[in-house]
Amino acid sequence: MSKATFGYFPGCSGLGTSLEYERSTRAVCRELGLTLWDIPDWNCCGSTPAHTVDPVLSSALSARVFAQGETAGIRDVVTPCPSCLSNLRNALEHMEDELFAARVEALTERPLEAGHSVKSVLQVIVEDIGLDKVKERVRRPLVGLRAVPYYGCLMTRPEKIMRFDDPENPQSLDLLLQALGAEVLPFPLKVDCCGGSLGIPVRESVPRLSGRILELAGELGADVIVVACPLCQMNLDLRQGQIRAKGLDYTVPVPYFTQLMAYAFGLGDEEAAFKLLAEDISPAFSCMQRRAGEIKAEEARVAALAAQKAAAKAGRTGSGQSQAKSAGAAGGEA
Amino acid sequence: MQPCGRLGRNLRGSRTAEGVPCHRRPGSAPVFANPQGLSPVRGEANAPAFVRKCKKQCAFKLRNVTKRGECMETVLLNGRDDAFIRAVEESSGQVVARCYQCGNCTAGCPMSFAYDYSVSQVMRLIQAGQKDAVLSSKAVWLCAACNTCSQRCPNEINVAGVMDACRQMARREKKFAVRAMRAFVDAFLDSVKFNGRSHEVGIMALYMLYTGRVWTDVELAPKVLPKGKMPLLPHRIKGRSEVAAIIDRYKQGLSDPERVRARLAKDAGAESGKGKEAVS
Repeated sequence: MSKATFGYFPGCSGLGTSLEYERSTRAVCRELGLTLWDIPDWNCCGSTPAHTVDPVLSSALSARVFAQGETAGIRDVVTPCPSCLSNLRNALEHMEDELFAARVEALTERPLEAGHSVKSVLQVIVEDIGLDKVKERVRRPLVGLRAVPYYGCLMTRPEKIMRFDDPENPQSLDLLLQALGAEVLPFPLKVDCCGGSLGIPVRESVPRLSGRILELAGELGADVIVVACPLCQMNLDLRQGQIRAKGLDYTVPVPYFTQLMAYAFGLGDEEAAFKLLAEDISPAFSCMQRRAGEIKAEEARVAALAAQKAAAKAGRTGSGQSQAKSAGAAGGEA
Repeated sequence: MQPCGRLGRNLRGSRTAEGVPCHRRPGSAPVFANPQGLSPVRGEANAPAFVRKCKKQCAFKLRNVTKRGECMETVLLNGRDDAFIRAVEESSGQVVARCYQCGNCTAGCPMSFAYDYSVSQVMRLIQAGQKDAVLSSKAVWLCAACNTCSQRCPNEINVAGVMDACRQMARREKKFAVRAMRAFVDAFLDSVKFNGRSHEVGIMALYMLYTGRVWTDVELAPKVLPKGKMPLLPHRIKGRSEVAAIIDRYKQGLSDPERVRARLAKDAGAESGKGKEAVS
């Protein structure tokens, strides 16, 4: 399998609440020359509930995913969802222990060969493809868009297992957004918890935790919060109305990074799928255009000024004075 | 300091040898002593004088009200359950004795606001072998598994892993301090069992059924249903019986470490037996 071909594990939310992530991920990967092979008849990784019950059960569900991949000759898997990634990666790490692997096999009854790996789509784009290649593809740069990146808990933690970026202050999404042309604001809550699936059993948790993230983003003047996790997106976007009812003053659209990539690559509305977001993103884009206009005007002004100065300098040197004298004259003027 | 003459365990929880008294002010009542034996005492009868009943309505019967008026639960450190400590350490693969109570985990914990014990308190309770207090705490159920504590622990303890181990143990012992949490987990796994994949509408329906919270998040439905983001029908996979079998085998206890270890030993024995036959 070449480096640009991966087995693809969309995760259950890709068929439902994160449809826009799924669509834009496939479109962006196609654009970047990545071939994604769907794992045949994949099953749920068990998410947080499975490892709450038992890591062996969680790993057994993940092991079936890898076994299904094996039937199609897939060894290297990518997934857009950090929760799936965490479960699949944990399963591989834990199964290096012989007893643990035997316990998993007692549940799956399907022995697994060695040599499996799993990565997130973000990691593949940043590490395997590289930001230079992403930059080359940009046709509609996001100049003027003020974005804050939000990574969530699981993308970089636990450090020893995820082995990607800095666990407390990751930069990959920041750099990716900069490559797309956006202005990235430093965001102190980029790896703080959004409340996860606790929003259902403990109603208070999401307004409190996601509310903090939305409020800080609003106070920083961010146009968008860019996310990489379906559960974070659901808490920040779909539940934003619930959070506003509890006293949040801001409205911040929360797109996936792949949606912004699709937009920057000049792909159509179908691929970028902004319509599927609960909070309308068009105000953010109109802000971006206004700011882009201002930036352009400012650049034009600076360029005109520089041209004027150059012309003045050329005029003086053109009148027959020696270079040293003109420098002296310029110094005198100053 | 004169010894008070009482036998048993001292305040630090370590056993004082037979006939060696623990050190206490002479004449004072033995503060945390339990006259009956070594099991933890939670009654007012044995409470020292400075422990008053909390004036606020709170879950704990016995509280220590500090000078500032804050209430603290009094945890009596006698009756350490060493088997419990070993079980947590084995299940999580962590050494809980390495925790020196710096409180970094609690400082970073996003769910602390909802806990009865903070993370560092849970760690201390585990060190003190307080099985009952740990397993019936809300904290182990409300942990969001965000791994912030594990990341920031200066002694590199995987604190979230310890919390996970305690939650698994509480589940096995049928102690569900947060019932809704259990209902959500059950609803999720049932959905996976039926369909091979999780199905959001199905999970919510089962959750409402298990908890009786009929209107949970229904106000969100108009935002997702018209966009096709929450299909009413599940995406069932062909191998769903295989997934159901995994969950069934788990419930039957086929992955119990003892059982698997015994089987591995048997297999190894059979193989070496075969090898001997081949040689002979």
